Amino acid sequence: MAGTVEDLQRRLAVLRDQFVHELPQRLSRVGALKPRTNGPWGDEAAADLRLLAHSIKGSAGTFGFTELSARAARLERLIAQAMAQIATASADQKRAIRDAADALTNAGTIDSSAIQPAAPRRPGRATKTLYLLDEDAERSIGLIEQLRQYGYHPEGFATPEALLIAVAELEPVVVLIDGSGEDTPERAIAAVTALNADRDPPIPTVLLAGRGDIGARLAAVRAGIDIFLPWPAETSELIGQLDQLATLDDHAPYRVLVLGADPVEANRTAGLLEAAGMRTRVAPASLRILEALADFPPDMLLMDAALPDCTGTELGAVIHQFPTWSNLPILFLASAAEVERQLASAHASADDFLVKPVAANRLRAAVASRAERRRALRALIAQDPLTGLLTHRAIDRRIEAEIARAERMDRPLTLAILDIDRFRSLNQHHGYPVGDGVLRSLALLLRRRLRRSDLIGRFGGDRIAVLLPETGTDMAEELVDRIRIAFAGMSHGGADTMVSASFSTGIAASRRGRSAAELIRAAELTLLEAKKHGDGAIRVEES
Amino acid sequence: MSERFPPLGRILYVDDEPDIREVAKIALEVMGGFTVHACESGEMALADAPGFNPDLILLDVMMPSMDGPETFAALRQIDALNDVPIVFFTAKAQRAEVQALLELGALDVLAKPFDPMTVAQTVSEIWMRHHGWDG
Repeated sequence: MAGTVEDLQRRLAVLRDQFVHELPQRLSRVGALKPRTNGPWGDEAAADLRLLAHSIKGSAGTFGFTELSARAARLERLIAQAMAQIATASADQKRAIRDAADALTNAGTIDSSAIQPAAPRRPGRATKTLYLLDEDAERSIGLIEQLRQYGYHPEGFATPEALLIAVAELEPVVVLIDGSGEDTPERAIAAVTALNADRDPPIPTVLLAGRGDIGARLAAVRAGIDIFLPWPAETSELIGQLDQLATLDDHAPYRVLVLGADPVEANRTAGLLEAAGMRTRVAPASLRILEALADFPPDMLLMDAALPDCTGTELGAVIHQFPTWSNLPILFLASAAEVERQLASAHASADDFLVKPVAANRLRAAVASRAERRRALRALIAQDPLTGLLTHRAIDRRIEAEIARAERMDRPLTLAILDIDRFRSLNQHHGYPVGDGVLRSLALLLRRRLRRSDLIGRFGGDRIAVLLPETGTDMAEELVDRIRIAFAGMSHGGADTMVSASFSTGIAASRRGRSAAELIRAAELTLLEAKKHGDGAIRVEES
Repeated sequence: MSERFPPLGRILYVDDEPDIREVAKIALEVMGGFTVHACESGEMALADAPGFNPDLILLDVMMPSMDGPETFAALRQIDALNDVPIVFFTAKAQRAEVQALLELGALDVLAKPFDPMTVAQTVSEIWMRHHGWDG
């Protein structure tokens, strides 16, 4: 009588509701059995209460009511201790038992969270909420400002105690601890230890350390700190690391499509991955895999190597022919003999196979690492699909890194922001395909005319950012002007509509102490001025 | 999961706690595809086991009248069942307790509460290891 993961979840939910429904009755029995302030407390009542506590502990634990289960466990333990002594429970013991019983019966009223079931697998962490523990108020303010610019919602705390209180209310995606004021990061490490004691899964932590030597690193690793960054660090480095941690612990769990020859086995596999916090879908049949992929776009595909209609590697090759899925990681489950057979005939590597039967933890690790790689790749490629240029986010990061480099080497760096003139009316009059074509042509032209070391990114809409290392504003202006002339001479569109287009440009230079956001803002303001002057204008920010 | 091992089909599950019994039965049936017979006491397990003919027995440790170890000993007295592997479930799961249960001759000891999503897999793995799997 096998069913699906959803089946199980649905049926468990029914049982859980039933448990909640019957809980008040059980708790009132706890109240009736607990020792009274005055008067005797019989062995029978003690034994009954112990059993009741044991039962509540078990059921509550099974349904994910962790606090309730913990309170019941405490009551059970106290009674067991009292009963272990031959004499009847002492007055102190009775008082402790009574208190524990009250704590249990009050679980629902005192603390509503006690009776809430634990969130499924991962506690609800607010997206991009970041807590910063920093004793240095000035640095704290500076960091918070920077983190904000990268889309984080940072909140600063001056003491570990304040941090712990906030964490108890809302878990952040990551905790950043500034230990750079200490020679050895002892206080920072103590704070992390206190933070993640008994927390499963732990909250990812980043330590900004005053020293980067091996002793300090070792201490950090031992304390379970995820990322160790010697301070001062480049902002891009910090953000990159934070992003990675935040995505690893993303609210969007890995999505895994499972295709198996045997539905029971496929469901069990899916259940294992669900239990590890992933989202799964079991594909109905191999020849309908494309529909399943469209229905449930996964981060990776887990499939049997031996399928009824074809081999897994054959099906994998078909899937990879579709551009959307050309990079989809596929992991095959196979018997040892099947691996040999398919390795010999197909374009697969041994690395793509897991030999059945596979232990649950190995399966989870193998699936997670592939899904993670797909995500990391997607972020790294960071290519705008229309123009092939870097995405806004990707170029933002590169600007940050280039600024740091330019400052370090004391070299010039210039940012130009280009904006196609009257782009909206172009789209309105000639249609979006023509507008897209104009944008693509400009992207292509820029790529041809600029150096490999120059960075070009799409800032959204019709706006393109060009970052020119080793280039001052004069040279940048000249360069952009040549491109402007070339672009003006091009026509765009199809057979019946040929249009020409132009762009305006704002140029600004990097200066010591100027952040990426400030540089971008300066170039955008200059662009606004250029726009006032009419089509094709180029303006350079006055220094 | 594989042809190399004798299939695990029938499981006898013994637990006095109705909620957990129900969860375990559903989880093992739905996720594992096993046939599960659930018993609410050691006495019931002794009565039902010979007729049910299980491949594996899952036994709660703490039960009111006959506890897990007592039930274990009694099951071992039944000829037809004396080589059926028995796995304990326990909420305490302290090293000393686990050791004591293994010394009784239990195949393995699992912690409670268990995760309904994975319990079938865990049981399968124990079964396969019992049959020589080294995964």
